[in-house]
Order: sequence, then C-alpha cells, then structure tokens
Amino acid sequence: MEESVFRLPVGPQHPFLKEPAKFDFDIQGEEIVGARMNFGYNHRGIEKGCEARNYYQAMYLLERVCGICSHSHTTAFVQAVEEIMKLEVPKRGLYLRMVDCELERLHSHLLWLGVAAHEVGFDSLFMLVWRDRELVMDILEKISGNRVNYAINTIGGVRRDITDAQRKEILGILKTLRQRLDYYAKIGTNEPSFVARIQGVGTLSAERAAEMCAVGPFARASNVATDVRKNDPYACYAEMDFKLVTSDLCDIMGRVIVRVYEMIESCNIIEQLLDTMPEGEIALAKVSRRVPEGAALSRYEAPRGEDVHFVRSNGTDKPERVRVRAPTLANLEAATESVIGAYVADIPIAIASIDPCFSCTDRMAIVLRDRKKGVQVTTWEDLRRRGIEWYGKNKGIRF
Amino acid sequence: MLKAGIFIPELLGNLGNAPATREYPFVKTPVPPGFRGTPRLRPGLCVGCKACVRDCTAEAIEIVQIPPDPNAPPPEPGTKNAGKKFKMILYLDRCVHCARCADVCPKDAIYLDEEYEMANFTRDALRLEME
Amino acid sequence: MGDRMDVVKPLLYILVFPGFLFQFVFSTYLEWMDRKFYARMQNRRGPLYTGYAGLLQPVADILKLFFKEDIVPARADRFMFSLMPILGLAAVVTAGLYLPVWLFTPYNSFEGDLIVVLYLLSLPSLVLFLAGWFSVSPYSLIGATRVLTQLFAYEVPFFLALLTPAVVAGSWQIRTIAVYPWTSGSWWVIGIQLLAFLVALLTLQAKLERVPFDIPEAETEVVGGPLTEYSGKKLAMFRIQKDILMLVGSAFIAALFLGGFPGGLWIGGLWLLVKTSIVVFLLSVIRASFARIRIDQIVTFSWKYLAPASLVQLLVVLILKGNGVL
Repeated sequence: MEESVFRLPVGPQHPFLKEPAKFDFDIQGEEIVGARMNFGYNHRGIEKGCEARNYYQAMYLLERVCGICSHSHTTAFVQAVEEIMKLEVPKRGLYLRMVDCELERLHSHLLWLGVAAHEVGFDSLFMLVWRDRELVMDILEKISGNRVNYAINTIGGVRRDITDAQRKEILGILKTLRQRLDYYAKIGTNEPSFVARIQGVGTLSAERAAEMCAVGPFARASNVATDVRKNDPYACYAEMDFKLVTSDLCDIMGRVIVRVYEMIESCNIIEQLLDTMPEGEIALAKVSRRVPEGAALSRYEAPRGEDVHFVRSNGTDKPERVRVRAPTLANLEAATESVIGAYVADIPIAIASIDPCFSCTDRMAIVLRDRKKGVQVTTWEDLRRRGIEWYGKNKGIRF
Repeated sequence: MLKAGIFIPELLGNLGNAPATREYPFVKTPVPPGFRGTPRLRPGLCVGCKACVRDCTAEAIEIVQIPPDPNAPPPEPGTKNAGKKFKMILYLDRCVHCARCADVCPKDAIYLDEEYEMANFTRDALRLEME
Repeated sequence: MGDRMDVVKPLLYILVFPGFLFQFVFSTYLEWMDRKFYARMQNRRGPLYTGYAGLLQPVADILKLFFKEDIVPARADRFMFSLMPILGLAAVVTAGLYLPVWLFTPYNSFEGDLIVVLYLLSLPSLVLFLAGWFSVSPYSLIGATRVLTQLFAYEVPFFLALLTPAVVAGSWQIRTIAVYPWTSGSWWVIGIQLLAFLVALLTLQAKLERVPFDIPEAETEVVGGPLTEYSGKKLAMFRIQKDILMLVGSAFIAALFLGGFPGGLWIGGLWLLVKTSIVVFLLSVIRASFARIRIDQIVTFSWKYLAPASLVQLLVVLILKGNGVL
C-alpha cells in the first residue's frame, strides 16, 4: 500500500520562526521526504534606501538590516568605504571596533543557544542562558549607549572610547561568563533529553556543506574550516591569537559545540584586546564627505557567517550601489536539504540550527517571465527606471 | 540514564536564590550615562546651519527660524544667520537615536538625554518643538 | 423533605464539593503553585500581581478566554467540535468525584472504583484526539495522531503502576488502599512502592501532556496540536479540563502512594492540600529539568524503561505479598 504524501505548510507565520519565511514540507507519516522554501517576506528596500542617503546616513540605516548582527553590517560597510577612500584607521579605533565585534558575537551566540533550547522545549535552559546574556547587554549599553544597534562606527574609526572602569567591568563579566559557558557546554552534551533531540539530527556531510557554500558555524560544525577572521583577516585580527573551532559531528550537536567554544574564544580575544589596547586617537579627525569613484568588496565574520558588502561610489556624497549578502542566504538551501529524512518534530531545531536571520536575507531577486518571450534577464538600470516610472505614475512620488 | 538528573541541582539551587527579574514598571532600572535617548536642543546655541538636518538618518529634524521680534533692534552684520533665532522640530516617531545630530553639530547644541519611555498615544504628541 | 434532600444532596456533591466548584478552585491553586515553582527554578518570579502573590492569575487567564471570540473553522463538524470540550471536562470532573475526601457514600466509594477512575482518566486523551480530528487542520491532525501514539506508550505503565498499591492493600477500593498504611501500621509500605511512585509520576506527566512529554501540543512545532483551532469559551474549558486533570491525577497518586487524606473534613482537607502540593512540586521539577522528546523517543523510553520498571515493581510486591511479609 502506497502511503500518501501529506503537504504541510510551515510559515510565513509560525511560532518556531522568529521572522517570516515560507517552508513547504512533504510528509509521509512523520518523515519528511521533500522540502522547499521561499522567503522575501521581510524585504524593506534598504539597498535602495542607501542610494538616496549620504554615507553616514547609509551607515546607520544598514545597522537596521538586522538587530542581532547590526554591528556586522555597519562595520562591513564602513570597511568597504574606507577601502575606497584609502583611509588608515588609527589602531585604537580598530581595537575598539573589534571589542564590539566580539561582544556582539557573544550576545548573538547566547541568544541562539537560548532559542535552540526553546525550540526543543527546554525552557529552563532558555531562561538561564538569556539571564546570562543580560550581562553582555548591560555592558554593551554602557559602552555604546544602546543594547542593540550600537552605532559606534564612523567613517575613519569609532565614536566612543571606553574608560578604565568599563574595561575592568568587561573583564569581570568575562570571568563570570566563562564559568557559565563551561556549564552550558556540559549540559548541552550530557543532558539526555536534550542530546536525544539534537544528536544525529539535521546532518549535513562535509562534502555537501562545502558544495552548497555553507558559511559560519553551520559549516564549521560540518568540518569545513572557513572563517573570514582567519582566511582574510580584517581589522587587526591577524595579530590576535585564537583557535578556529570546528567539529566533525556534522549534526546539530556539533553546531551547539562549535558555538559554545566560539564564545569561549571570543572571551579570549576580548581579553587580549583589552590588555594590549594601544593609546591614541579613536577616529580620523577630518574625513572628506565626498567619496572618490571606486568600488570595494568587504567581508566580515558575522556571528552567523560571512557577511559580504559591495559598495560602489561615484564621487558624490551618496553611494551609487550597496549590495548586502547576508550569511543566512548562503545557509538556507543547505538547511532545507539537511531536513529531508528527518522527522516533523525536527523541523524547528534543524532550521533554527543555522541561526536564521531572514531580515538579513531578504534582498531583491526579480524573475520576469513572459509566456511569449520565455525567461528574461533585466539589467539594474532598467529595473531602477521601471521602479521610478511606476511610482511616478501610480503613486505620484517623484524621486 | 545515570546523567538524567544533571540539570536538577542547578534548578533546585535556584529555588533558594533571589529572582533575577526586575519588577518593571514598578522598579525602573537607571540607565547608564551616555545612553542615547531623546535628542534635545540646548537653548540659544543653534545657529541654523542645518548640518543635523542633512545628516539625520531618518530625516526626523526640521530647523525653523523663529520669526524675529519686530520691536527688537536690527542685528549687527556678521554671518548670514547672525541675530536670528532657530528652533528644532523633532519627529520622535522617526528618530532612530543614532546621535549623528549630536556628533555633527558645530556648536554642540544637541545632546541626547536619558529618557527611554517615549511611547505615546498620538503621533502629534511625538512631534517635539525645542528652542 | 427527605425526598427533596435526596435529590439536592447529590447535586451539591456534583456541583460544589467534591464536584466542580471545589475542583475548579483547588486546581487553579495547583496551577499557580506549578507556575510559581517552575518560575523560581528558572530564577524568575512567576505570577506576581493578580491577587495576593499572583494567586488569581490562573483564574484571570481562564476568565480572559471567556471574553474572547469563539471561532469554529468552516470545514469542521460544528456539533462535534463544540461537544469535545464539554465531554472532556465532564469526564475529569466525574473522576474527581471519587477522590477519597471526607464523606463516603455508596455513590462515590465502592469496591472497584479504582478501575472506574482509571477509565475516566483515559477519556481526556481520547477527547483530545477527537478534538484534533474534528478541527480539520494539518497541525491538529498531526497533533491528534501524536496524542493517540502517546496514549499507547504510557497507558500500560500507568495502569501497572497504579495496580501495585491495589495489590499491596488487597482491594480495588480507593478508600481502602489510601488508608492501608494507617490501618495495617506498616509504614514502610510507602518505601517499597517508590519505583511505582516514580513510574506513576512520569506517566501522569505524559497524560497531562507536559514537558518532557508534551509533543502533541508542542508550541514550536504544531502550534497547539489538537487545540490549534480552539479559541474563546471552548479553549477555556480545555484549560479547566487540563487543570482539573492535574488535580485529580496528583490527588490519586497522593492517595494511593503517600497514604491518603484521613481525619474528617478539616484535617483531611489539610492532608489533601499538603500531599497534593508535594506531588505537584515533583511534577514541576520534572517539567523544568528536561527537554521535549520526540514521539518515537517517548514510545521507546516508555516500553524500554517504564513498562519493565513497573513490571519489576509488581513482581516484587507480589512476591512479598505471597510470602506474607506485606
């Protein structure tokens, strides 16, 4: 007797998704035999918005691409602009930027650990991890003025310095965090009900992960040693001494282990940065508002993986084109494939194990299909022209 | 199976600890200095250069000249805006609290206070006029 | 006058004590206790402001649901959809009438009422399955099949575990089993049955569909399982049903394993409060310490560990009873 295939739509609204995305699963009994995904529910037009704003406005706008990895986007953008302008950022500014980068990695991974525990119903671990995350949020509020969206970058450096008192406070918090992280590593690998949910689930072999261009902790847990901080170091990471954490478990337990140990490495990096921070200026004094013509591609290791920004300038004070490739976009196809063969109950944790951030992911991809002409390819200028015409005609908005 | 109770000691220990929850809104946590709250104008310092308007990420600021007092004596010649008074209209529902206006003001006339409870029932109440 | 009292008294028993009103009030107190313990173990506060220390929070939640809009899905069978909550609530309230508290009449205490209670306690699971089946939605159907699969997993260990005190006391009447430690004087009987107590706690957790066995209603996977499409008054009745089921289950486990509630109305009521609270505390600890395991893992766990454990316990008790030790 052939079992019928049952189609289960998950999303765009679902309690397991923190942001809207659409998944379609074909289910036989409790096993998943097919999966498709669709996103685009979070598209806000930020890339187009950057073209109408000058570089400083665009920098703070790009921070709002994502709340959790906000610093990643603004730093990647600022690095691209500084490359075009050939600016030499003072060392102290770079060190302060890196302190914020690693603090953001800490808070993002702690958030993920809590969310992963919640997806498998382990609410106690969720509450305790988020309680410890508050320590990191409080210190971020003290040094930058806000718990998320730190707005600490400026073209040519950073805006705020840290005082000695804040430095001591950070070191104290890191000591507490290390103890808690060791405890969570023990719980994550030994608690029988948690291990039963994450071991052997959502497997993605190393070859497949490399083939599908997975990035970040998702790839490192499948033994693919890719990390922008090691492969293509930016902002003084070449001088830091830290390990590249990989795991050969290739399943969700590997991703938990990689992220927890990455957090411990982040604690090490922050301590090195605070101990060896050079004196000096934190930003360049005078930076021209007009950026010469040029283009730059900058890569950055966000908590979720490799974040790529491409900036093209045309001599004015507004960027001509900003293109953001978030890490989740690279991981989504691999995640959808890793779910096939698992059970329905594994969908939330398998998709959540890539640390999805659909707000980062949604950039525009237009496919125009005409029945008579077949598949068409449209150029960017044509798209812009069509958009401006449409808005002028239908909504009376002139750009 | 022997590790089944590995999480229980922490949980039972937590029964004896004080809860980590702050009882907001009855107990308000003070914000640290340097918190980026609402932008405010220091009175009398604005010279109307409109650098903040140009650089505001959310286009939330308007600088408007206060109509001059007809009985006042004419101003001495100097810069273009000498003697003129300006006020800032801030649309708090658009502001993203990036503090760019405070950074870019040449007269250091804008500062961000530490107020974070900005919710209101009408949009008109979020249109702040400061001089 | 006597005829009228004959009609009014059973109505009072069914509706007030130990019937619906008493069970409703007491179960909201137990839900408050469960939420407070659960929160304190996670270093939070739990319900805090409604009533003194949040005691009225469960009542407030249920009242809020009564004011919400009640939607019946277009393709669902309207009559069955609306009947299910009432059926489930009626089953658990009837099971609660057999609690060994205070007054025992031939109506609510007879030889074999343990079997009646076990039967009534398996009705809520069936009602959940039917509720999910009749609200035609993919999530409800998945949740409904999971309810049945879970029923196959835990029902046998549950019955076996509750059989053990019956064998020890040599009777099928709950009242006799409950006061056995008092009447026989052998208090170490409670120690012998610890394994059955543990199995009964775990299977009660599965019956109540709480973590680690709450896969039928897993919020992050099936949005609410069989109860996805319920809202308003019907969802309120399901919530009351779940609360009263926790009360009835814990009270029975306390009665059978921890030595009953003797001593009349007031002393017995105090025993009821204390012992049921102990059982609910243990259920809260179980709820806080584990993650949610998958349905196939529940079936494996149940048949690999719970059923053999209850069989071993039964064997031990039978041997001891046969040798005249008990």
